[in-house]
Formats: sequence, structure tokens, C-alpha cells
Amino acid sequence: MKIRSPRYHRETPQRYRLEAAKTKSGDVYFPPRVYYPGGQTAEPFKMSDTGTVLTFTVIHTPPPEYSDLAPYALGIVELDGGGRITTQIVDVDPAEVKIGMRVKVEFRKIRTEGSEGLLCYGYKVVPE
Amino acid sequence: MREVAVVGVGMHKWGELWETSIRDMFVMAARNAMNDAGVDNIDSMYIGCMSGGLFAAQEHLASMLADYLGVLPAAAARVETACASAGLAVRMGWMEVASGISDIVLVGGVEKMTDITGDEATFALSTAADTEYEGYSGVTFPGLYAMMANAHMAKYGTTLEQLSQVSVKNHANGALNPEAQYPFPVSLETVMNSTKVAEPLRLLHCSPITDGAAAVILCPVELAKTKFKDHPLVVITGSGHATDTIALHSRADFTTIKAAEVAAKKAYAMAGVGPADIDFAEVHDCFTIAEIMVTEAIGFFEPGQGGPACERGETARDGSKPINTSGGLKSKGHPVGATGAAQIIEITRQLRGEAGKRQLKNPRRGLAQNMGGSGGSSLVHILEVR
Amino acid sequence: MPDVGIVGYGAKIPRYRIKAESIALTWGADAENYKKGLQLKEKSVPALDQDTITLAVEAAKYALKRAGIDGSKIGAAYVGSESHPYAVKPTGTILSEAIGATPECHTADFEFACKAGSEAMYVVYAQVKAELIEYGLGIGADTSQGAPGDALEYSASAGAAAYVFGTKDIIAKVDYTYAFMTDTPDFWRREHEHYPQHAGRFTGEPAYFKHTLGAANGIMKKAGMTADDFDFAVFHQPNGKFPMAAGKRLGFPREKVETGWLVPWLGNTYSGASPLGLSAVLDVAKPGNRILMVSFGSGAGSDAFIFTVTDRILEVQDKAPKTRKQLDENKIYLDYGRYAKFRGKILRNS
Repeated sequence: MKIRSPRYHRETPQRYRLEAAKTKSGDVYFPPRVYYPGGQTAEPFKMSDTGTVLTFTVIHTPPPEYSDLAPYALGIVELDGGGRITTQIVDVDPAEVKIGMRVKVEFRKIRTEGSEGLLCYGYKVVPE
Repeated sequence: MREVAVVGVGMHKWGELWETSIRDMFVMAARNAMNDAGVDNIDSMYIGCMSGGLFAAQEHLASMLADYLGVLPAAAARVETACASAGLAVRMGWMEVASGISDIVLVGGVEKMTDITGDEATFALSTAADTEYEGYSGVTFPGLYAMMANAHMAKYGTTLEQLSQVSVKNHANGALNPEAQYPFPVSLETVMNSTKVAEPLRLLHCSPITDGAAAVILCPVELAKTKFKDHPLVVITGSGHATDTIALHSRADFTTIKAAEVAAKKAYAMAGVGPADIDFAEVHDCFTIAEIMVTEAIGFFEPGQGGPACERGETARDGSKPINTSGGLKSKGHPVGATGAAQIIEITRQLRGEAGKRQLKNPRRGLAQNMGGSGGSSLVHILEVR
Repeated sequence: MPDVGIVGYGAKIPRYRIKAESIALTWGADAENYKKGLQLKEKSVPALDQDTITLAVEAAKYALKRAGIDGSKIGAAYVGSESHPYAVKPTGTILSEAIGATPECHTADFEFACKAGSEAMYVVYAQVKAELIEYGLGIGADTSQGAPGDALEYSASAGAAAYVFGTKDIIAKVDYTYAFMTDTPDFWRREHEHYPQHAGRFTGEPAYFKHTLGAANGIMKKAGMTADDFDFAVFHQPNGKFPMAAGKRLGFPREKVETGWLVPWLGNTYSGASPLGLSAVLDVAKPGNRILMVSFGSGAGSDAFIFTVTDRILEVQDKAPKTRKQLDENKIYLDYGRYAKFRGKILRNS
């Protein structure tokens, strides 16, 4: 399904710059929310660009827009200083990906909407 | 609050039903349920359907299905909580009967998944995850459960053999279910060597793409005792429903399904029973790791013991806790919006003694656990025969 | 007017490579012709999820890291490339958004074949010099394409280099700039065409050498300097042979050119070529070193800069990945089949 402009545009602070929010108690919310549990207040927080793989998989049957990339490693990464992302782990042989692996965030093209639509960018991680 | 009975159940042979539309599938299942109960009309109905829009390009399903079922102008609503939609429909119908608002309520679900390509179905299913923060990364549902599997394997030493044994067991059960999509046994070797989908999960660790519908007729127990005496009386004694974060990455622990644990606790409390009192269960084995994690979450086994328990045969039909005697989602099929109702059907048939070749010996109490997404929602129902 | 110079620099080279042998094998060519004759051993290939924008963003982030400033301080960001991913929609807006420079930022996409990167640096330098902005980013980035089987296929590669210019904390002061340009039809690509056309041997003497030597001689004359006054020289490098020949003709000993001579292992990164060469020089430069940089873009023209390295260089060299390290380490080799897939050279149903 195509990602239309308004939706893509709305998410760019998160996709491009990992903008999150941090509550007084130190919890990181990505993306920022309108309301935080317990009515806490939160400040804008830019997540770090390094982190650790908490768990992962290697996708062999991807959604249509991602088919050229398969097989690709994909994991949940805990960023240093708080916040988690689900993201592809690239520039690595998927067989070498491990839980606990150190990674860093890179700006990458996430998907292409055919030859005429939007080019959609965002974060992926590579071995640190 | 009135006690609620299950007085009619119906489905049809599930599979890739190229010649059957979403409306026809639903009517086949619903009329089977109405015939089973012996009713010609209903007061209202709740239909679970995950995505009529993406799978079949049809919204406003409730009215269409009420029309084709011939029950106009009965109240009808479609409900949705991803793959737990039919479980939610059961709960909504149960609430309506328990509250005294209606007497005869049809609950069920339907999903027509093969009118679109496999790729498109993969995408439609992925919308049950957080589209912006999970789906955008290129994750799929097998991928989410694969990440849970890797975490579970790392934490507890769960093995690929154990993940595979779940599939072997469920196919052995499904082979005895004439309504199952894939009613044949599979060997451990076949499962372990099947095509890679999302490592460590392979094709035969995953439930299939299925067209299917299922329906159940509910009424107050007092009414069932007087008007519906053809079958043993099956009563819903517990209903639990809970949610969790839609995104897997937002959860503190990837190795447990918190929503299933909370929903089960609520259902146990309502029924006044505990895991030890349950004779058998239908659980949401969309991927074999899910069955292992859910049997732990609902208290049948200690955390990390779901895999070994299956390997020891404890969850087989002749084990201490038979799981998924119907074949589960794996063998019976998984038309996502209908699955939760089919689980209630299997529990009811077992309790009634109508489960044919896969019949357990005199079960008294069964549990059905239905799950939405990667565990963002879960419904648990406990049924007893009286 | 204040002294202006580079305050931060960054390079980004994709990890994928293809060897000349793999290309030659596919087209029945003799790899030795390219390896010995043109000094092209292998080249970088962008991953499927890398393009001019993503490479430019990573290079820019490294440049900001070395500069020690936040993206919001950037008052102008110019990206030079002949492979801007959109025909219409700026590379610069996406880049500026990604580094946090929006909304108070001027941006433009430049195109001048292989010269667009130095052009971006040239204009940013002028903006800072004119005190219109405090900091600006000039970037050369490309994921260039040569037609399958064409000589250019052995060289057209991918990479980016980014330069933050400013007046404070300079690591390499700009001493002189000079531009040299004529209308010379040596190489072009028409709209909607996938691959460029070139004029064969006409691209040498009347194009590359005339402009490169013209700009180099022009800036040295302006500065009153000769090759002896420089520690390093960086020239545009469409192949391994041309920059070495240019250096020799200008009187530079081979070792002064070699540090920034990346092309035998990197290929021609087009707009990124001389900027990447400069980054490799800055990685090892010492305070007081003087550097000549001359770009070349078909069409045709050259920009020339003379830089003097400051003491601060030693503080920033290790703050981001070095160019040679990216070039020499962690390479992933592709066969021609995967390379063709990565570069969209395979006919497919849409």
C-alpha cells in the first residue's frame, strides 16, 4: 500500500531524527505521545544513534515493497540512553547477527513507492 | 448477571475456497450453528473480521451478513481486535446475553483471505502491528513471533525441535478434523526442513492463509435448560479480555504474552477455577512459539517449560493438558477474524462428546485463548459442561 | 572579511564493491586493460537502500561531529550530485531535515557532472565569507551509473563527502579559490536517459586536462605559488591515470598526489570524487600543511581551492570514521548479477 504525503511528512521527525520524549522518571517514549501514563510530563528527547540488539529475525518472506532486500535481518534495538526501535540490521551477513550485538543508526532508504511515487527514508542500523 | 450457554455451533470445511465469497462462507457457518441450536432467527449478532477492507474490499459487513443470513432487521455489529476479533465477538455476545438485553445472540467471525495475493495478505496482516513503527521497518507477523522465539530460545533454551513438535502435534490432531484446512500429519523432519519464513521460524511453524467462517449461538442458561435440550449443556463460566502495547518493542519482556496472562487471570477468577482445573485448551498457535508462550502465560506450565512440556507429550491428546485438539490454527487453518469462534466450537464439541475421532475422555472444563497481533490483545473464555 | 575555512568534514563510502574482473567477465572484456591502463581495480556500489541522499546525510553527520556543532547551526546546505534521487524535489530539504537544519536554512541542489560537489563547497564558502551565514554545509555525493558494458561501468561508483565551513574552530583555512570554465561537450546525459554519453578520447585533453590544469595553474598564479609550496594535491579522478598525469604535468611528485588518490579502489564517485580525496588528505594532514584541490566536471569546468591546515586538525581526525578505513575495511564483494540487481539494471515487470 502506498504511503501518502501527509502521513509520511508527519512522521519525519521520528524517522529522520529519532525524536522521542522522556518523562521525569526517565522513561523514553518513541514516538512522543499526547498523554503519558500517570499524567507525567515529558520533554523532547533525541535518542542516541548507538545501541544493542535485544532480539532479531531474518525475514525471508517480506512485504511486497521490501522484496528486493530479502533475506534481511531485522531486530529490536535498545538505544544507549533509552528508547527502542524495530529496524533492519544491514551491511551485515544476516547469519552474523546476534542478540547483544552492538549497532549504530544510519539514514537509509526504507522503501520506494514504485517508479513514480515517494522515496521513503528512515533509520536502519549497521554493525558498530 | 445471567449465566450464558452455548447452544449451537457451526463452521464449514476451511481452506482456499476459490468459489466461495465472504458472505456465502459466513452464511454457511451461521446457518450450521442455527441448525445445531434449532433456531430460525436471532436477536442480534457480533461478527469478528480483522480486515474486510484489505482482504475483501468490503466494509459494513454486519449489515451485509445479516441480510444474507436472512435475519434482518436484527441488530448486527462487526468487531475487530485483529486475530482475536471472533474471541471479542464471543465476549460481546456473552455480555449482551448476560446483561439481559438479548436472549438469542449469534457470535462468530469470518475472513476471506485468498482474494488477494500472498504478498498483499502479508501486508494486510502486518497492519495488526504498529504500521508506522514496526511495519515500516519491513517486519512481518512471522518476523515478530520469530523475534519472540529467538528471545525465548536465548532466555530459556527452547529448541527448534520443540517449536517443531508443536506443529507435529497439531497436525496429528488436525488429521482427525474433517473441517481442517490441512488435515494430514507432518513429520518432525518435514517441519524442520520446510522453507524459511522468518528465522528461526519455517513454513510449517506458521499457520496458513485460510478462507473460513465460524459461528456460535448463545442464550441464557435458564432458557437453554428449557428450550435447547438436544445437546449437553455447555456454559461460559469465565470471560477475560486484556490488552498490551501494540508494538512488541515497547514491552518489558519479549518472552511472555502479558495480555494472555491477564485475560486468563480474569477468566479464572470469574469461573472460580485455576489452571489445574482446566482439562484441555484451544490456544492461539498462529506460530508454534505462540502456543509455547501462551501455555506458559495461562499458567499451564512454568515460564520456559512450554517447549519441554510439548516435547514430553503433555500437550498431546493423551497428555495431561491436551492443547489444540482441533488441529489448532496450524492445521485447521487461520481465517484471522474467525479463529476465536472456531476455538469455542472445538471446546463445545469436546465437552458435548461430539469431537469424533479426536474426542477426549470425558472432559469437563476447557479454555479458549485467542490473540490479536503479537499479543496486543487477548481473550480467554472458560467453558464447562453440566 | 573574516578568515573562512573547513571546520568539519565527513566521508561516507558504501561497503559493497565489485571488481573489474567481474564486470569484464560479463562483457567479454580484458580486465587488465582497466586495471593497468586506467588503474581501476574495483569500485564501490551503493546498497539497495543507499542513494545520494542517504550517503550525503551520513557524510554530513560525520562532518557535524568533527565540527562539534549541532545541525540547527547550519545556515545553508548545498548538495552537488548528478544522481539526485528525485528529478523534481530537492535532495537538500531531505538532508536538512535529517540533520536538523530546518527550517532556518537555505538549500539548493547543484548539478555539474563531477564538479557539483566542489561547487557546493565554493558557494557555501562564499556565503560564510560574506557573513550571510555562520556555518554552511557543502556536499558532493553520487551514486553514478555507467552504461552496461561501457568503459564508464568500471569507474562509476558511489560515495559522499561533506564539509562544514565557518569562521570559528577552523581546521583548514581557505587561502584562495579559483574557477575555470568553458562550454565543452565531452560528456552529458539527457533528461529521461538512464546512462550518460561521452565523447571518448575527447574527454581527455580538451576536457579534463585543459580545465584541471587551467584551474590549477590559475590558482597557483593567483597565489604566487608552485607545486613546491604544497604538501598535498587532490585532483578530480575519473580513473587512476588522469589525476596522476595532471599532477606530473603540474610538477607534483607522485607522493603528494597519492594520499588523496582513491580511485583505483573506490572508482569515480563523480561529485564526491575530489571532495572524498580531500577528506583522505585531511585524515592524515598535519598542522601547517598546504593542500591544493582541483575538481573537474564535464561540460566543462574546474573549481580550485588552496587550504592551509590548522592545529585543530589533530583534535578532529579521530572523531568520525576515516576515509581510507571505510575504503579498505569491511568490504562486501558483489558478483555482476547482484550488482546488476542493486543498480536496477535488470528488466522487470513494474
